[in-house]
Amino acid sequence: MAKKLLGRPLPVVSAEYVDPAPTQLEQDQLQELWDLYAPARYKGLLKAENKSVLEETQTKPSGRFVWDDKIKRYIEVRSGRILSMREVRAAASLFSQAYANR
Amino acid sequence: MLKDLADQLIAGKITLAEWQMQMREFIRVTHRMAAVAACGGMQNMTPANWGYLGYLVKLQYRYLDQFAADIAANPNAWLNGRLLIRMQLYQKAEWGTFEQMLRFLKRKEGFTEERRVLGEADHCPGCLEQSSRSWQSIGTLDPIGAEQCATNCRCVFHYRRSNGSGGFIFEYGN
Repeated sequence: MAKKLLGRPLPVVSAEYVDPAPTQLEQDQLQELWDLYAPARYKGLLKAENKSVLEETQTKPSGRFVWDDKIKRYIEVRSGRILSMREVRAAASLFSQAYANR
Repeated sequence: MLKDLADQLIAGKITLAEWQMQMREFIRVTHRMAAVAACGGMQNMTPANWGYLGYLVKLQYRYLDQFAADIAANPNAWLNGRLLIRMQLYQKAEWGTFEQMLRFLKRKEGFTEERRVLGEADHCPGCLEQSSRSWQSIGTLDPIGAEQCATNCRCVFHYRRSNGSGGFIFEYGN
């Protein structure tokens, strides 16, 4: 295959540009990617349901994690363990690393 | 993925614009993940949160634009092992996005002051100076990644607000 010319870079991003919010399909895809590349113990984290909404509607959580809006922390449903932001931060970094090396 | 992308550009299998498009997609995905994780999951992503994230992603695109311009201006300097090393800085930048998103949320929650707390790694002079400033109005300290250590920075912010009776409510973000 012939070597491609380097060519010119894309036009620069304008000052007014804001990257658009993802579509529903993209949101679903992000959750799938997270489950694929984040450490196994944090699988399902981005699908966390809101604890206060579950309590209001008297619904049981359907996933592995809920988000407690009062304390602003994730809770692992099975154990009741509150996740520290330190470990959530670390999980996001490990996702990024695994995704970059995939 | 990043290594393949670097190899393809070096080997002339893709153009600079194609490389840049794939880098933008990589940045978009990794920074969205960090922000969504910081916000409490996809259910907590409000239009305001997405809007702020869109701004943060734009900033990364602008760094990438500069990088692409550097490559175009001097390909011999970049189309080698250095390319991947610099590309990996974009992967590490998600830490800063996570922190900026938390900062945005804490301000909305009514926290009024912030303090920079050094990470567990070695500290650059800029981070030391920022952390020595103790408590400041929220949003006035440099964002994570703005000092010499750039995207290797592992500092975090702590927050506080008045409890209305002479004390403080703290949020340590850990």
